[in-house]
Amino acid sequence: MRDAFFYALCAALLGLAGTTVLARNLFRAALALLGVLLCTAVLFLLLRAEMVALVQVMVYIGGIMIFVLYAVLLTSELGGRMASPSPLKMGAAVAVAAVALGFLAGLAMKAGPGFAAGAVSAGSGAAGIASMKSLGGRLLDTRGFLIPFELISVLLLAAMVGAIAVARPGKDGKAGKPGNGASSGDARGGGAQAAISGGEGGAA
Amino acid sequence: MSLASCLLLSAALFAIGAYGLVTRRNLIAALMSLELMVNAALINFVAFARFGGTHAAAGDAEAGSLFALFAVAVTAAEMALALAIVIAVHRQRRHLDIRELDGLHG
Repeated sequence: MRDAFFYALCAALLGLAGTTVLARNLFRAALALLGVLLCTAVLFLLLRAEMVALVQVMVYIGGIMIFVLYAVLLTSELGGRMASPSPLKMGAAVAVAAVALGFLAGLAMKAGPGFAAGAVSAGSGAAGIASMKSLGGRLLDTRGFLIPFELISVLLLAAMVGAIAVARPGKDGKAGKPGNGASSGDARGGGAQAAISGGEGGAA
Repeated sequence: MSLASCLLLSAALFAIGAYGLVTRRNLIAALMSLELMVNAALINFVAFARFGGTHAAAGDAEAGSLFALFAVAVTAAEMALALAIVIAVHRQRRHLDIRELDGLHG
């Protein structure tokens, strides 16, 4: 029963992934990617990683995919169809994918039995399952992952500030004026924007 | 459901993502293929946390889950920046064709 559900989930996952890379309509591809991420969250639940499944739904589906859908709607018309790739390109892509699949599948077959030998017999117990409580403890423990945790929050903040600085219109844009705000954060954002426009000007 | 089947699933997902990354000409579509490949890596992290836990050297299910969580956070930062660049490029050039975006090509 569990195995049947797992294999059905795998089939759905791979089918939706195929739609993501093959669909000629960008919006449809984005919706298929949404399905892939949702199926992955279910797979994480099946693997008893509840926290990762929750984060997957909240961050990927609630955050990143909404952003991707907005980007699709802002930059391309809804019914637009992309040109299909040339046969040469498609052959090269199939070769790349086959090499990657062969290499990874070979590694998986080699690593699988060695790892699984002891794990599945003991896997019915608590081994291999991280409760949310123990995860939180490890995350905020100075002997655990406290420093990476704090570093990643700084990284996220820097990325968000950088994203705003890159995406907002420059001096030649239609809306918004850089250097409008009085705070130092705004001034720095304007500086980064100016540097980017300068680079673009030099390239052009 | 075993470690090997999870690894095979993630290998297939990675290969599909690699195919998309090579064939797609639209910047957003290429980014979506990249997401598929990252997702395959996440499945590997969680599968090893679940099934590799009884090894003497490993024995750490929390570390596997936390690795996946950190990877999700890094991907969120990466996608935020990438989509900001997409919007900036589209505002300047009015298209997102990867092959035309050669402004840094010497």
